Amino acid sequence: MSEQNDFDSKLLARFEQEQPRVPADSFVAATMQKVRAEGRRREFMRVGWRVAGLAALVMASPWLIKGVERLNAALDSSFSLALGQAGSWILGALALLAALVMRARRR
Amino acid sequence: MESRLAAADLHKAADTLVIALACAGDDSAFAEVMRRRQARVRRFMYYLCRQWAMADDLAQHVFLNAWRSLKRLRSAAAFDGWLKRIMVNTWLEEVRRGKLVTVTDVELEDLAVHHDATAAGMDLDAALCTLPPDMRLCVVLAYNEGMAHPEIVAATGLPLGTVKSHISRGAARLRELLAGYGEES
Repeated sequence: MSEQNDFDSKLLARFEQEQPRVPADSFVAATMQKVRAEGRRREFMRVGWRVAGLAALVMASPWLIKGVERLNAALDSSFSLALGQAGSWILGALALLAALVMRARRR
Repeated sequence: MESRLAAADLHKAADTLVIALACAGDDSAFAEVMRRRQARVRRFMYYLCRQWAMADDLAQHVFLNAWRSLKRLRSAAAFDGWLKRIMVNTWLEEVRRGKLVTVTDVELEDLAVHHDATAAGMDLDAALCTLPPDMRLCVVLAYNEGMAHPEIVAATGLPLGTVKSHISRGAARLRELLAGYGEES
């Protein structure tokens, strides 16, 4: 202990001499039982969450499939627009604008 | 997880190795760490609450909390300081729950009578019991755990002035209650 704390040396000696006797019992075994029970509970929860996640995925699959179909349709229409003549002009103009902005920033 | 070392080897293994194995999820290594530290943790809690049943419950909480957050421990060398913080936090949570009792002077006289009949050395526990929980904690951390003021500040979150005042007032109170203890030792 640091001297600068200026603790009472007699009291310190008393603490050192009068350490309460720890009862000799199965503390470690009892605590390890709790630790193992907690481990099993955690594992159960982990598996439970996975199963719940999987079940939620299965339950939501009709909506997910519909959503993917809509997204696919939206992407199809946007690609066909971009690949058309008007889309090419717009994309070209955007690319040019981006290049000019980047060049201006570098300066 | 199965232990990578046999039980006999675990008993002999260096502290840092056992702690590192426990951090890696080895339950037998954790049990060995607990076996080596349990007396200190239980004694610390006993000084604070003065009932072995409650002290053991709190010590179990300490080890369970340690086991839960063991993977977050960065180095085996930091284990003891980290465990001390868990001990303090467990005690502070218990204090916040408000189940603790501070012994009054009248009750202390009864305790003294009881302890004189069993063991004179237990007067210190009885005297500690009369201090308010925060003061008791600071005194035990200083005198039993050998922690310096800044360490106590870091562990308890109390301001330095409060820690110093708790320790000096707590020691004065103990001195008063244990009048003559210096002559015995």
